[in-house]
Amino acid sequence: MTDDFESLYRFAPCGLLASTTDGVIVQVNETLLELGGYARDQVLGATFASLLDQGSRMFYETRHLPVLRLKGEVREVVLTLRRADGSPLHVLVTSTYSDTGIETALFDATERTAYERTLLDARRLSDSTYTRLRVLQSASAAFTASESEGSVSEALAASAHEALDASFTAVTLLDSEGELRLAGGRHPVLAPQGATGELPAARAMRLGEAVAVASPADAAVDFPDMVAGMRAARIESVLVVPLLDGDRALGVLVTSFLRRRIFDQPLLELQRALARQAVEVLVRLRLQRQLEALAHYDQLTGLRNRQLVRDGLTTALRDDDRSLAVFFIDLDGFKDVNDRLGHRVGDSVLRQVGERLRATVRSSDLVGRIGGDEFVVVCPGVDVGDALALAAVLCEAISAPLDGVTADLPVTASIGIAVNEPGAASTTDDMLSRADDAMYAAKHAGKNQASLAPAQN
Amino acid sequence: MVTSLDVLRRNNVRVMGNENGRPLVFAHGFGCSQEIWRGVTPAFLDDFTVVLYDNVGSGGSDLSAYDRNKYDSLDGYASDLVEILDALDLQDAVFIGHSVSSMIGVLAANRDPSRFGALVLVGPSPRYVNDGSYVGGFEQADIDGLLDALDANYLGWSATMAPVMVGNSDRPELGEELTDFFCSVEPTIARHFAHVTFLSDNRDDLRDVTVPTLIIQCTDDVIAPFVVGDYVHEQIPGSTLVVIPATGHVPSLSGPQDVVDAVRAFLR
Repeated sequence: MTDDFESLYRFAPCGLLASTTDGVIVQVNETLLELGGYARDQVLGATFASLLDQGSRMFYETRHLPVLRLKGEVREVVLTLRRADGSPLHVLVTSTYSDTGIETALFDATERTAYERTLLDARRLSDSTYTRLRVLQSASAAFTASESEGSVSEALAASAHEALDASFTAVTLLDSEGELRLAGGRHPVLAPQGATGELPAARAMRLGEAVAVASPADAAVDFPDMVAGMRAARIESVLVVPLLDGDRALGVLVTSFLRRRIFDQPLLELQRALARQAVEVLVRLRLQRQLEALAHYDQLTGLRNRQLVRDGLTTALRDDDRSLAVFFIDLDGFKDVNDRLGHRVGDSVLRQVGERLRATVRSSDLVGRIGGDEFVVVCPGVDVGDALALAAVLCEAISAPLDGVTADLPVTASIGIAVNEPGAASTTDDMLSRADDAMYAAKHAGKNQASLAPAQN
Repeated sequence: MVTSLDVLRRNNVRVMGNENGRPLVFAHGFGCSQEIWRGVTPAFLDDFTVVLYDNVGSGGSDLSAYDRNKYDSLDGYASDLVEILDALDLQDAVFIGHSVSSMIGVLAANRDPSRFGALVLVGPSPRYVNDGSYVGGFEQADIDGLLDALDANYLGWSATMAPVMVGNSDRPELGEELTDFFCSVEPTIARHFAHVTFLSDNRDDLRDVTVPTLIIQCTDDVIAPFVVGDYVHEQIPGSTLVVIPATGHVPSLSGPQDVVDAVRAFLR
């Protein structure tokens, strides 16, 4: 019997080993030596952990052994042995632990591991694809629901924050002065005080490609202005991705990490994909804004066009409790300027007049250009007395010398005024046509003056 | 706002021992939970307030509190530790951190030294991956191998999940029966925690330590070899290094009495 048992042990269909509680191997069977290609002397006295490859050994020391000691057994754990010739062997390990030592059985799991490895790779791929898809989908939904650049920026910052386990995420956009301004998210070191060199955001904008700062040591070389801020906020790595519309960068997406990161291709690609989606929406929003402006504002002067003046006047007239004045302004002498000095100067005159009107009235008053050299100003809350005084100021403002126009070609204004008294219930058309009639009266009376339309019957 | 009770529940905090004694706060490393201290804590119950807790994502912690942004660096864990000390209003606490938690303790003590009386770092490593002349003991490929091993044992991890709660989880301040979690860890969290543990670099934080510090170095610890223990000792001003005979990376299990003796000698 003893022989049978011994031979069963020695040639069992699995590797068997016994070790002390510290893992020092005291007994092994033939099968184990064969599996690993080890000599018996080589194995006895060594620790089981030392037979493992580094990755498995880390797992064994930090996870497998503590659980084994606590629980008394660990079943079917996949570990990788380093064979005597250095090649790896995947084994399935079951161990029991007692005060007298550790007993371990190992099965060759090459085939099973290969199969599982295929599954694992497939799962990792599908996990990362799924994650990517989920991130892009939820970002896309957030972008689509955004109606302002601010909310697109917030959505982009939030998506990148979640997708990358980042500690800080921010979006900055170029403003009309060409400065990068924070538009969404938050970040402690976007614009270090007293920075003199180029910062990562500026570089990403200039190059039109992602800029990675892998560590404060890298920052010390490439972006010394960043180092103090990164250290203070404990930031280890920064990634800046430009928001590109074709060749033009609208701004940047900045992600920071409190732990050093390796910015691999999948990560960069995900950032770029998020940036692309956000840019599409930003461009659409800007286009919408331009179209709205085109539809309602005069391209030459930036003032309201006829339709928007009418809309504004209609709205203002609804406030029937107070008076309202409409000024219909037609330039005198503009045709001569245009004929003698050309359209370019003519356009400049119209722009200057527009600016003077805008500068003369309150910001709450409406100023529009409704035809060639015809302007309308709508002033809610202005009565007859104030209207006459204001018209005089407007005449004076316009008759002052204009840039590019010689003194022999004076430009002045004939102004017709219509006032709606409280409760008079004038319509938009009434007001405009009365002011227009009054303007003609001013022209006939000798130009460069104002004329008040008779009160409405 | 996180209340004290939220904090204690989040980190599965358990308080035992002599409530008038100096507080000893025990923290576990990667791969396990507060259970690793069970051979060590009984020796201190008569003279010390013993505090045990689980890092969020491990053991009996509140998994719903796992925020990947927060726990993407050790700073998130350090914030939790500071909150635990605040919640229990501990003064002059001796923090005993194993493995990655030793670095978490360093970060917390640097941020708010007021509650820390001493640090005991068991098998610390400020950086596992070799870097130039610095020897951490591992290469990036080894870390990838660990992640492979984690993934390969995905099902095994799941099987050790679903712990049976036997204590009163609603009243952690009352203390609980010892619950066998067998170091349960949710697999995706374990993966992330492995990244954060083994790819962090906290070398620059060591020299900022101001509280008295003991470094416990095990014999034959592959995860935190001698050279790393020596490095930590050199970098932390005025620290004490002791080498104990316990082998492997988890001396609280392989030689708990060695740990008890080292801590007692240091605190004497």
